[in-house]
Amino acid sequence: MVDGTPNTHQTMEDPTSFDLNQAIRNWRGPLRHSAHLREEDLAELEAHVRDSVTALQAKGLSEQECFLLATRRLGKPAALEPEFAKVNRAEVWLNRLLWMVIGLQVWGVITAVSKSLTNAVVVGGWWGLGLPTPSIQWGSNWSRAVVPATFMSLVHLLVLGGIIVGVWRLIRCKEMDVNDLLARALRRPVLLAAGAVLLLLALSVVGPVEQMLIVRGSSPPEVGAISLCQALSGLLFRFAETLGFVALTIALLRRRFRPMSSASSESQPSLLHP
Amino acid sequence: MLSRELVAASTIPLVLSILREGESYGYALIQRVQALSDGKIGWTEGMLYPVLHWLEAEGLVASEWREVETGRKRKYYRLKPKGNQALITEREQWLTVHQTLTKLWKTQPHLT
Repeated sequence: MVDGTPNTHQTMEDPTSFDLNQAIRNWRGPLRHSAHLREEDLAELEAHVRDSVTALQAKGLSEQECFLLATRRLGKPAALEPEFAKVNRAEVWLNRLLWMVIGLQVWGVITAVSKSLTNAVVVGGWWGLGLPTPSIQWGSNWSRAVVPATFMSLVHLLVLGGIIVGVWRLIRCKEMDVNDLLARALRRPVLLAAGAVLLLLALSVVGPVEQMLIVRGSSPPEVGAISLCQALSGLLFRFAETLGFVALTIALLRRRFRPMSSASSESQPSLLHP
Repeated sequence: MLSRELVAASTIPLVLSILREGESYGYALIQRVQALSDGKIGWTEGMLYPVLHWLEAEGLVASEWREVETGRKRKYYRLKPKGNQALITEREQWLTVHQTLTKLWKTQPHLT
């Protein structure tokens, strides 16, 4: 979803150092995140802007003036988007489905990694630092397990947040194009599949190994207490996760169904007949 | 300036007619329409592309990315036989409207 005019004001501040490529990147920015425009549509629009700029420059205008005029003639993103949405419906949905599937896989890997790390930190901490192990006997006051379980799920959430923020910043600061990254990965499908299988195997081995170490290193009541903590912490974590997902879904839905500004569609009539 | 309804209705016959002269790309199509109409048919330029994509999905035109002399890439469109058929139908319909109006206006020469 795109709002308002393209981000051209940044390029207007210093007329002496106008960089057309940078200006085009800024202009593409909000459109790139639109669900209704394919990468190819953007490439075509960019080719149009460049043609337009070249033609306007021949009339003696500065590069910056040409760019501003060309993008204005092209139309506001908020007006263009619904037009592209009309013709891209199937592809837009396939694209969304693809991202959902990828998202679920990535989420699965991230949660598995963060769970293993949490267990390593918390359970390892209990042993290594000699922290008091919750000792609860069946039938006794099991609510004493709630405190370590809460602590454990908090650590879990922190680790999870840390991983997500880390991955996000890595992608952002290197200005990696996720589409491009995926396209490159797909050029070696065998390697990609082998990597995915190995990663899944490694992650599925982690759980049993942890349990084995816990069972070997602790007395039966301790194992029971740790298991109870893990189960409770899992429950608390799932609760937080569900809340997060509900909030995310609502936020995305609100963005998706935000009404278009009527002013832009008023001044820029559609060329596509119903 | 044309009304928005007329702009929307005339885009497809205009595009098909220009492509009948030979293959072309979005920017050139717009320039041609502007020149022919003395700037009276003003499109919001970006809105032409969904129309071209719709025509392609309907099998009326075909497209191809091609590198031009400057090293840039451009998407060229050309008319397909089905597009030619569609253009013939469009032409008949527009001529019917045009001829009817012309006959009427001949008998009412002083429209004010």
